[in-house]
Amino acid sequence: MTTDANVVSARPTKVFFVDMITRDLGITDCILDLIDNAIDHAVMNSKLDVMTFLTDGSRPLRLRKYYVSLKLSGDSFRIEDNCGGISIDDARTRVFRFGDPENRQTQAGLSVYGIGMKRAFFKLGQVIRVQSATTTEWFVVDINVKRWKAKGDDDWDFTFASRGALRKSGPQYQPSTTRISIAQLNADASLRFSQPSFRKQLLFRIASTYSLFLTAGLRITVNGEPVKPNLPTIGGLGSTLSAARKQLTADGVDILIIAGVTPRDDKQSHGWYVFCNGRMVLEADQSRLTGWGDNLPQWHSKYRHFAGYVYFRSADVRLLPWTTTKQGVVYESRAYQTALAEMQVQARPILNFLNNLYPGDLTEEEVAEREVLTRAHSVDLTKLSRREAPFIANVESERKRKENALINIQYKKPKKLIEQIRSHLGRSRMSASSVGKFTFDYYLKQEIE
Amino acid sequence: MTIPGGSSESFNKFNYLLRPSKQVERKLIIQALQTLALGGFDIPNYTYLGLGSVYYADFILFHKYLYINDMVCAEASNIPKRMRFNRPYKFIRLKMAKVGDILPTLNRKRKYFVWLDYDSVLGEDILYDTAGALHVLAPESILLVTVEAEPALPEGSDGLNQAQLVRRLVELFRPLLGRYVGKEITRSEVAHNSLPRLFAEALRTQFIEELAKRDLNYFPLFNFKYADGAQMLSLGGILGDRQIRDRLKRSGVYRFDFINTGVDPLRISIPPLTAREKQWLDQNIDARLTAERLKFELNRDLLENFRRYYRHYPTYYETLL
Repeated sequence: MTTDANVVSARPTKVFFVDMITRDLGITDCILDLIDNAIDHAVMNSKLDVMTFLTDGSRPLRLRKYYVSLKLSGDSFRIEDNCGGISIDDARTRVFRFGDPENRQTQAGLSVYGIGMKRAFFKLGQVIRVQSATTTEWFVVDINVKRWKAKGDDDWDFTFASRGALRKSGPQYQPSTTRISIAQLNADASLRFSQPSFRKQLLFRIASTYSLFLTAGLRITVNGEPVKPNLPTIGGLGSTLSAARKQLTADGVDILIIAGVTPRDDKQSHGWYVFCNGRMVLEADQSRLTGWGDNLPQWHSKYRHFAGYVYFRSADVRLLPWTTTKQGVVYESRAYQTALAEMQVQARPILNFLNNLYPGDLTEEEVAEREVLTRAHSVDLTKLSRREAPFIANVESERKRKENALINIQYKKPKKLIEQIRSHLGRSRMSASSVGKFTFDYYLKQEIE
Repeated sequence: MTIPGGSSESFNKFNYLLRPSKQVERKLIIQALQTLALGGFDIPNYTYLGLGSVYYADFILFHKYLYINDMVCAEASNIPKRMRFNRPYKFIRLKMAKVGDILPTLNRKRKYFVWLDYDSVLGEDILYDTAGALHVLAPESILLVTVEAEPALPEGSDGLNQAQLVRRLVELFRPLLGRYVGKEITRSEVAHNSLPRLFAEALRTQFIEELAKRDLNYFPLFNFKYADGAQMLSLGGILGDRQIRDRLKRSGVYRFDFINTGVDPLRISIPPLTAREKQWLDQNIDARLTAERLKFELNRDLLENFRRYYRHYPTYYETLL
């Protein structure tokens, strides 16, 4: 601490990083932060832009040779990947710093702020080992959080436990791998990692958050169990029903919006899904963040078949509207506001369609919209038509089909009156339903035809 | 039916079907747009998007006097045959859909003249439509919105006394328009004479805020209230970047006294006159003519309105077709 009486201290404290900013996100979010770093390396090395899956229909399995393996238990956590490894120079000057001093990405990656990895360390445990090898060199960094904190707020640096060039004779590290092991887990992390329900939830989150990367061939396992991509689907029915699609650019960010309805048998409640460089940051959002209750109606259960997807892409990751936790959007950013306005315009016809599903005065068979939704089939997002067009639901043709449909009529009448009709007709054994049909036909003939 | 400023006696009533104030409004809009056209705005090459009506009155006038021949008519109710049958020109593209369904299909590079001419009170669906239009219309497009501005509930006001109705209106408009108006919405804002101003302020703020998201400005031109039957409010203008401000000034459009860039609506209220009365007034009208010097009874307010709009006063005759 300076002794100059004129200086007002604004220095950061370690307590801020270890105990405070770790409160902003959950344990699962921290693990996803570590996966982001691995995938970021894979994206840089493979030069893959996953958004092309959606924009030009190509599906190169360029991530096939990469894996991210997670192992977690009540005692320890480990994440290992073969996505490229960290060079000694990057470790010394960038990777372990709090806040990335510069942004030198050229590819649409996932590492942004230079905070996720350290925050994950502090959130999860006390004793951390990072070992990494590129194709030419390797290093090990050991961090003991308690001891590091005890060094005081003037010394922030970590030190290499060991490092060297990758040689046949030296320590054996798999080239291009990184392994982070965390022991002496914090109580919350230890408890959650020992629960099977947590692992299920983690698998589910990974499946949706990284669906595009998994589709590109990346293998992610949790305690040996492989994660399958869970890319949400959308309902289609030839020229009768098709999703809205719109591409635009704002502030150096490419934006792709796809929105439509999910098929009738999809019982899940949807909303908007928002992705930055292929990584999901909002899942099935039904809040004001995505326009509900703003320039769209409040979300309502009748809109549960609405599904919208927004993809933001930029080589300059700091232009993207993601927060440091990647669990939300920077609402005020120009790119997001532009997208939001367009999302609302594209969603409106879909909500009109869904509003028409439940008219008060018609029976189920008479609502053409319901029939369209029932007949719609699931289409994978990567297989949707790439033609820019608004949402189309051609209910007119369905309505025409409906005009010849048969409708059930049911009503109750006193037995005595039915008997009277039977005896009047001289047909004492006529069934009640035949009496109903007969009287209907009689009215039609006498009054209408 | 009451003509504001006049009396409710039958000689002060028009046949609602003729809607003379609305006709004056249409003519004023035409005059303004013709002036913009002379000032370099390429109005004849705009696309007109209007809401359906079997009379197509706006479509006919805008084609005849503004030379617009690309037109889209949006009709939400299920009368496709009637709409097709009455279509006055082949080039009018009829879309049997709600405006919200049509907005995403608009060409983002074309300039549009959009008149969202509703016959209902300002509600959330209308605000979604206007927001959508403000998001998709190309710079230099013209957006005009007409809504009913009577203190009435969307579901009807039957069985409510005046105090209950006012309370319900305040409850309705606070969440809907509160974010667009400067002060708290109270009973006085929802009264018959204040409601047009409340709607005008809300729409104007919405226009400005939604356009700001696109780095565009709103240049107000029209803000009318009139009542051929129910009281109506029309508000609108042109949207664009800062550079069009000078072009608008140079066009001379601001010299018309009916151009209203403020929040208080301008009232169009023309007197019902016999043909003889109208001819006499036409012959004698000047700035000095007062109600006392007329050869017949007409209150000062209506005379003032006649002085302002006499050039646009519609005259109707029965014709045999």
